[in-house]
Amino acid sequence: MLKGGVIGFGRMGVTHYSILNTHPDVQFVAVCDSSNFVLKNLKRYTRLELYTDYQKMLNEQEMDFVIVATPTASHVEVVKAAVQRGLHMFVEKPFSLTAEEGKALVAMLEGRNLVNQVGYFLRFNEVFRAVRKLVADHVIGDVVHYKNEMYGCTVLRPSKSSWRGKKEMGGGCILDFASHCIDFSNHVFGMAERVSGSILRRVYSTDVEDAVYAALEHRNGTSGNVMVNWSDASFRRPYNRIEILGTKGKIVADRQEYRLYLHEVDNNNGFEKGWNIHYLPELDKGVRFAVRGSEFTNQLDHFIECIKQNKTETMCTFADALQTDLVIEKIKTDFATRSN
Amino acid sequence: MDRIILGDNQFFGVSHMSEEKGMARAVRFQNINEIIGILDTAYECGIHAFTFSTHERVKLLCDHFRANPQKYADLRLYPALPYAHKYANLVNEKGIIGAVKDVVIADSTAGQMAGMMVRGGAVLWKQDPIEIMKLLIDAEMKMFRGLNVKAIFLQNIVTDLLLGFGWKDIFRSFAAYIDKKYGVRAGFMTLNMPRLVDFLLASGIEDPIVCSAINKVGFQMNPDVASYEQTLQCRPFQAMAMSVMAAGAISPKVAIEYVAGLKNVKSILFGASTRAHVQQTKELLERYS
Repeated sequence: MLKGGVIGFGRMGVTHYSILNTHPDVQFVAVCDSSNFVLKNLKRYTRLELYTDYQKMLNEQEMDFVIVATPTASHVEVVKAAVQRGLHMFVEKPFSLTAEEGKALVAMLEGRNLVNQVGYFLRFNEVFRAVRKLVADHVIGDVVHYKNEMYGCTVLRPSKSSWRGKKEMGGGCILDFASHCIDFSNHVFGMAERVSGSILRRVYSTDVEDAVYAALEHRNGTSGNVMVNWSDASFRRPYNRIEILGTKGKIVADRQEYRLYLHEVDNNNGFEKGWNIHYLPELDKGVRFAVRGSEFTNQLDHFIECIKQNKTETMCTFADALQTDLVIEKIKTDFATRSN
Repeated sequence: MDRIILGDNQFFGVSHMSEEKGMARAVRFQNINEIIGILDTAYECGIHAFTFSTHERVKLLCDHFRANPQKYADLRLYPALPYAHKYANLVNEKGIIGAVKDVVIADSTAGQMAGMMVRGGAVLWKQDPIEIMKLLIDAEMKMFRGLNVKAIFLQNIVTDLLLGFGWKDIFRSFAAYIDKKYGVRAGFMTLNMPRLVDFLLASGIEDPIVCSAINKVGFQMNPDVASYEQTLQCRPFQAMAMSVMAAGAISPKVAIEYVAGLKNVKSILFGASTRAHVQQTKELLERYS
């Protein structure tokens, strides 16, 4: 039985807790949060040990792993403490506020046998997984250019109260939304090496950007555009879409379906010439317990499996997520340079 | 429980198959009369039972039903709450307590608002989740006032989250409050039917009403089809089947033949966005049920 704790019991913290609380090999022993409301009710309904100070929790509790789902700005100090305690860690995305801090954390892992994972769940969505495989298997030939988009209606008016609207807390569209697209681009095409044409635009927020547009260039000449906006009221909920043009065809995908266009029939992979459409219902497999969608369970079960098998190379390591932070930093620098 | 119930996802931009299809429908059903047209087709061919989320546009539909009591004399509604996306954004913006205040105050007359605020203030001060839940239920149920409600469902996002927590008290309190305040049974929507049924029975909720995807291909059925079939076979509960066509992955005939043959499936909840589709599905349901 693996003993675990959750630090940060907000929207993602509760989801992760719920999913892993049903895992046959997991037992949660402690939760740390700053909200009185949360602590009061956990006390009422659970036998968990409760903390407002994560250091204290890490010092006092015997645990195998922790879930870190605090606002991004605090990831570095919490993760540092967890590494020192020798705990396996699942950290919410994005990894760190600055790539420099992220690098230091990745360096800390050196020589320690700790499972480390960051919550870029798109990597675990069955449709996006299939898209990555199509690219890796060269089904559409060499990739020429892609368009990776995410839109949503998260911020529709000026608001300062949420941490998502505060720069120093790690708020903003580039960290919250665009990080998903950047991470998936890195995951499929390798880390972006060059960034240009970056635009960070405010729509309603006063302290952070609400939209991000940038051109990325990867090795082997693959290029793409990332287009992200969290202030678009026409989207009912966050929406991801990727379109990839290759020398032999094209892929258009969102979280529920992919459409593959091929110039020629592909007998090896069983695809027709022209359009091939595959929907989530045929790609998605059942999971042992789902909250919201199977990708959230897939990523956490993968984390637990890695701990059990003593495998530190997860599907989304700190080092992977650091690459996303590095590209985010490049976009910010590119924009700042041109704005001056 | 009605045997055949028409759902409302298709009217509000939800398609489990395709985001783009969902958006195209959102465009079409922007005109509330388009929705009413589909509901009327269903009503005329004998489907008098509807599930509705608490999407803000459902208010307009409820106003329409109340304005035409003769026409909808035999209407039977199965509301499902809460409307989660609304809360997700509100909680982001205002925190849990701020979001609760907003929801409770919305859509109230001045008098109601004063009452709700007094009750709300006390509840929020105590920070009791069960009392907050009751407050939110009442706030969300306001739009259905005066209409014939047959059961009230908890949406899967909340059901499953709490199922993972394993807090039996909350489920018992929800069921008890729905029964006491609205005089109907509580229902639960889920992505994890076998686990939920066992949990509800263990919580002392007898013969629970559980709504989940039930289809041949296992779409949105966790952990798998076999566990669902076994639960349907062996456990005492009332199943409401949705996503029977797996969002279009299975042909209507094969889908309905399968689900109609399963023991314990009391109701079949289906979505249809054209008049022809409503009629066709209804005929198939009658032929195999």
